[in-house]
Amino acid sequence: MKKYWFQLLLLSLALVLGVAVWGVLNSLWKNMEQYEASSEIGAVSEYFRRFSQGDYETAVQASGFSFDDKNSKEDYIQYLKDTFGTDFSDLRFAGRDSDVAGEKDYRVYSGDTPLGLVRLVPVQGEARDWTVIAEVNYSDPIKVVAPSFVQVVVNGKLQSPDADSTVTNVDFTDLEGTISVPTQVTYTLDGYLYAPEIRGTAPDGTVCIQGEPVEGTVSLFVPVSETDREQFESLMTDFSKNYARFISKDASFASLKPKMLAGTEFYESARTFYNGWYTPHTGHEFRDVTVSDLIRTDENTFVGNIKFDYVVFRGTQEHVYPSSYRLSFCCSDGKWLLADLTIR
Amino acid sequence: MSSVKEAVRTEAKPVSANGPSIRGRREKPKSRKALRIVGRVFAVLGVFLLAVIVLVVGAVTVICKGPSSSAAEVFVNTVMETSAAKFVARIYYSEDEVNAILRKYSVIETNEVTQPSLPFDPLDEKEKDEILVEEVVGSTFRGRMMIVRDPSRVRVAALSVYDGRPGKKVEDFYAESGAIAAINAGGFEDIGGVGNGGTPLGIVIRDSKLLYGSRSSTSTVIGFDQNDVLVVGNMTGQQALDRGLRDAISFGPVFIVNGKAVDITGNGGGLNPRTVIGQRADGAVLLLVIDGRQASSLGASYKDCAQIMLDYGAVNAANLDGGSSSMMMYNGEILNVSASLYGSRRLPDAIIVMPKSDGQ
Repeated sequence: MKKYWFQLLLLSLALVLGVAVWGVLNSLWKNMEQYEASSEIGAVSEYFRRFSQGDYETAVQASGFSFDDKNSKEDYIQYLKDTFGTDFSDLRFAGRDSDVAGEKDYRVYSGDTPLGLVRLVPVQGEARDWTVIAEVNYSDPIKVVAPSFVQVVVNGKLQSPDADSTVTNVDFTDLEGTISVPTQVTYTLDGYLYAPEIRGTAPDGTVCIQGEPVEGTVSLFVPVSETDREQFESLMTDFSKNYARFISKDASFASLKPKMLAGTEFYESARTFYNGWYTPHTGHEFRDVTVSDLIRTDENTFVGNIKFDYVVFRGTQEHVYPSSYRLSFCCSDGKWLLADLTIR
Repeated sequence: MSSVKEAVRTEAKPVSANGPSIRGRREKPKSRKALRIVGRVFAVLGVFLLAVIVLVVGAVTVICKGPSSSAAEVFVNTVMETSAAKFVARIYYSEDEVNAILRKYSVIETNEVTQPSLPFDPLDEKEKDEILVEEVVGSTFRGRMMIVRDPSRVRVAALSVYDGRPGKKVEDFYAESGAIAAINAGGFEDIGGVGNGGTPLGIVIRDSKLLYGSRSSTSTVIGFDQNDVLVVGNMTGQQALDRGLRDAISFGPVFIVNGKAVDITGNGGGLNPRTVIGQRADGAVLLLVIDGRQASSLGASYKDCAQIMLDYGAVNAANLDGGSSSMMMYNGEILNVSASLYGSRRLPDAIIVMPKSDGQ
């Protein structure tokens, strides 16, 4: 052994150094683990690495998002996919202090395009020091205006109208005090990730049609049934033609009177209208009569639009009056009478 | 011990006429002994060297392929910002992987340029004198912030001519201009890491004259206008002249423009020596130099630098050349510790602070 003392010494030195190197590297490894656990970028990268592997469940659980009739779990996952896309190869994360003390906000970019924001919430006792939660931007609030007699169901849940939202239907505001006016109510829908499915149903089972949204407001209309349509179109056409003839002195007020609800503002204006000024003529006709937008505003009222060209002949000359009215009818003692006419 | 015994035994043996002399016989064991000692020293050193190599390679491997992808990304950014150590990243990662990591840690470029503004309020004599140097410390860096209250004293020092001749050291710019302080400024062409500092990147404007660079090419310009406002942003040489910049160089990226900090993804780069210039709303110029690549200061990321500038109230700020170029001088002393073992670099220009007596 004495002969190999140096070799033994060298071997011992190598072993000691080896152990020391192993110790340093082991310590470095542990430090790296700690660094990764505390790394904000690491937490955000991990969040999206899971997405790239199709794991959205972890993000869903960490989000603390409450799922209900407004937003389902599938909605939330779809929202993550729509916000951050499905290509995670070129994501970049820009961090800044959050408004909430202790939290961090990271804006997520794909290349130079901002996609969305994730929030880092400090946690303890987990594999990482941060829980990552995607910031949720709900879709814009929607106001739904519907006739009071309609039931409104959103994403399958029956809704209650906003408090104190009952107002007279805009087509009958001039008739308040004259008849039992139809009313409409408003529903405010907010907190939805995606525009919700809105369904209105009249008591007779008729499904409402939705008007085009105007500045965040959607109106629900009850279309007239096929059985009523013919009768209502006939009422509108008959009254409109009589009214046009009355203006050109081809008909008397007496022909209008039984078709009108007495005592309304329109009734009075027609009754007092002087049509004696109209130039004598040889004939008249109606062209291109079109009735549209027939809707029930409640069980006893409906409104609709009518458009036609009223042509008056004077010898060989013809004078064309393009005419467009909105008519409101109400049912009085089982008879449909005109309640209002608005020139459009 | 065994070699000594052997020598004694050899001495006792009879000597033939043709054989080696006693002296020669005595020298041979001595040289063997010396060789053996030298061999053993080398063996010990070899073991130590091997341990160091294993340690260094192991440490880099643990960083690059260990449990922290975030640390690996910071490391890759750090070495890729150096001239000489880029190869280390390429040992562990493909070119595509390196590029992906670099993209992840960067500054979101802004097209915004500092808006023109009115001259700053006149300073009284005492304020004109004011130059403060403060130590700036972070978890991975140590540096110095120089606050020059009077922005009219901050100028660009440039070479008299840019014809390919080597640049000058910051100390030279400082001495020749009669400045009271100086830091490095714009970058230079450094193809293969052997640039002589004489060819600037982008433009150099001094005393409202374009000394170097194209009038039509766009670069990130950092300079002062006639109202002593620090202007940062992307523009051509012609636009810089039209904007009335009296002194300007090119580098970047921009950190803060018109009071708004740009978004920085990741740490916005690795940990390295940095030089940054900024200006507060009251006109005071902020000159920051961070030490790096040394045990006492690993260096700072872009994010660190931007945050320091925000903390000091900068409304416009941009990055200047860093790494081995980073240098700060004040009152004849070099205040920072250069990252280069060869001392300060030759550079195409510098930011200098003129003494109050400059009369500006």
